[in-house]
Amino acid sequence: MRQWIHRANQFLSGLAGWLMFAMMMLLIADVIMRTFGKPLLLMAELSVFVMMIVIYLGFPRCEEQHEHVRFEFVVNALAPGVRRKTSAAANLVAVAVIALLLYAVAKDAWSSYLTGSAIEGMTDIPIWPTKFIMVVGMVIFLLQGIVNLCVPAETPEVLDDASGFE
Amino acid sequence: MDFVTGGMLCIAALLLLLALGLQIGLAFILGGFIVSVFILGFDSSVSLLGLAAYFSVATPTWTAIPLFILMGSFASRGGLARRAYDGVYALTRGIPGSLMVATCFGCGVFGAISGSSIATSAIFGKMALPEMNRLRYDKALSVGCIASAGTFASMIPPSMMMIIYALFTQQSIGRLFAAGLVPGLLTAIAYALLIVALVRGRPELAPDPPDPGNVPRRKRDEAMRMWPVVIIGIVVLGGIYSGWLTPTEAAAAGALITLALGWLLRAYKSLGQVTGSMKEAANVTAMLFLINIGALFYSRVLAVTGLPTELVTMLQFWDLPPIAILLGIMLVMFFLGMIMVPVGVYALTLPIVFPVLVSIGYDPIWFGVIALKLTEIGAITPPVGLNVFAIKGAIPKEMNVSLEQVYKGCIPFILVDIGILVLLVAFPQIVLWLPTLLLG
Repeated sequence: MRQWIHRANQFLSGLAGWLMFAMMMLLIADVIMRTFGKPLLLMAELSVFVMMIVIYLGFPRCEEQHEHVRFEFVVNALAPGVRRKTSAAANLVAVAVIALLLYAVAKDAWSSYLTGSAIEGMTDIPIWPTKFIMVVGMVIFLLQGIVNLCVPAETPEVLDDASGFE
Repeated sequence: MDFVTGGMLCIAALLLLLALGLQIGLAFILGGFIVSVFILGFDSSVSLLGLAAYFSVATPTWTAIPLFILMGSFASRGGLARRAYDGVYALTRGIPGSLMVATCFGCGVFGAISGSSIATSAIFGKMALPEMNRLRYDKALSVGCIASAGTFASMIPPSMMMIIYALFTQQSIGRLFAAGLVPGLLTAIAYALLIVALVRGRPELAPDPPDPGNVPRRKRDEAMRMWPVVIIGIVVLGGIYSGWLTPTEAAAAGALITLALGWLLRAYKSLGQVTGSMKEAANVTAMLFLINIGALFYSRVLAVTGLPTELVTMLQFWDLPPIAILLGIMLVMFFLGMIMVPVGVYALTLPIVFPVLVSIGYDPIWFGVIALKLTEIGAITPPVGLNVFAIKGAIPKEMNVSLEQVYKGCIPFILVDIGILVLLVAFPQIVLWLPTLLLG
């Protein structure tokens, strides 16, 4: 399962990268057409959908790489044995919270599907497809969390969690 | 459960989960959820969480953040930091400690296309440090200079943290960008003056580089190499302040132009390098937004408890002088900045302190700059100095510089930062005159 999730993460990470590019192009197309007096409708809203997909499909890859930022000041000050137990407890709690978030996102997606909630405009754009893609991202995020619980990281350093961050 | 007790439990639960080492975003979610269950019940809390997971960030303004991250990623891999550094160095050659002065202003110039403090420190560490080492600059001061100079890159617009502050507090991004410019430049100039003064006093800290010869022409040629950075800055900031582009569209235009220039200048050798930049940007986006989504859910629950409102009422009842409240809040943010990432500090404190500060008459735009300055000072102070960690990762092993030496090298710059902070608190007009001039 670990290999399968790793491959899924690599694919989703590449897809999320290209979706970033798509988000940029949607907004650029809108600016260009607006400059010529023919604004494109709902481009900003579409870019929001794309952003949500980028975010949720990106969660599992970050979890795999241990890139989600943690506050490790207290944990790093503990004795090695206590630190290992504390990290295991944190991983267990993390899986529980991811499962909770998955449940909440899935319930919300299903509710959106049933009510047909949409962004209203000249053409209504349904929200539920985006929300179901978010659910897919959350499922893989949960699986990755379970993998991390079974195979904990080798004494992660603060720098690893902070890299590339503001 | 009493709502205010719920609010206090909300904060206690969050601190406990953070101490456990749980991912910050997940800690915000769980901390908020526990209290929400007590107040609203399980089903309503799940519904609130489900809605927050989508609607808290599903607005066009939030899309500016991933696009600015993408722009920074293209700029980093597209060789534009090297151009900024070379160009500024050409202009500062001959000044005592010229490489360090160039690093300060180079970080400022690169800040106009990056907006990330850590990325700037890491990139300039890789570029400037080997050269400083070759010229036998003092190691601690060199690394301290680079780590510190990264901090005001996030003050120079466009700044990702400014956007996050704007979205947490519902302020104008354009105004915040304009407000950060003068303090950012002021810090760069103050750093440069500090370096010159230190090197004049002790020339062995930064021995003069050999005379390159044919100086005026070479200076001009190398300074001209900064043209792509200038173009990107003009498009992004000019687009916003002319009213032609929203901040989100400016971010998209900036990212596209940065990519196009990188491609034209042959900084990218293959499509794989471009996709690498995009993947990197997507990863950083996901990482940042888990915190944002969690933090916004937590803020909503905190608002439901009514704790921020109660706190405002209590402070009004105590009749404390506004400056005492401000200094207390600054102290808390300063200490939190020493141990937490800036977005975590914002998420933890802004829902509570922002209404308080506004109610006692402080300008929200001005406080945005103060808050950023505080968290950026935290990025170069122990124990969790993110910029220090970034520069430590960029130091070649043969230089043999310890973490303690990096922190020691930051001390003169921290003192300057505190001086600037005092100035900004004493004279808010330094921050506010440019946004007032540009946007009324």
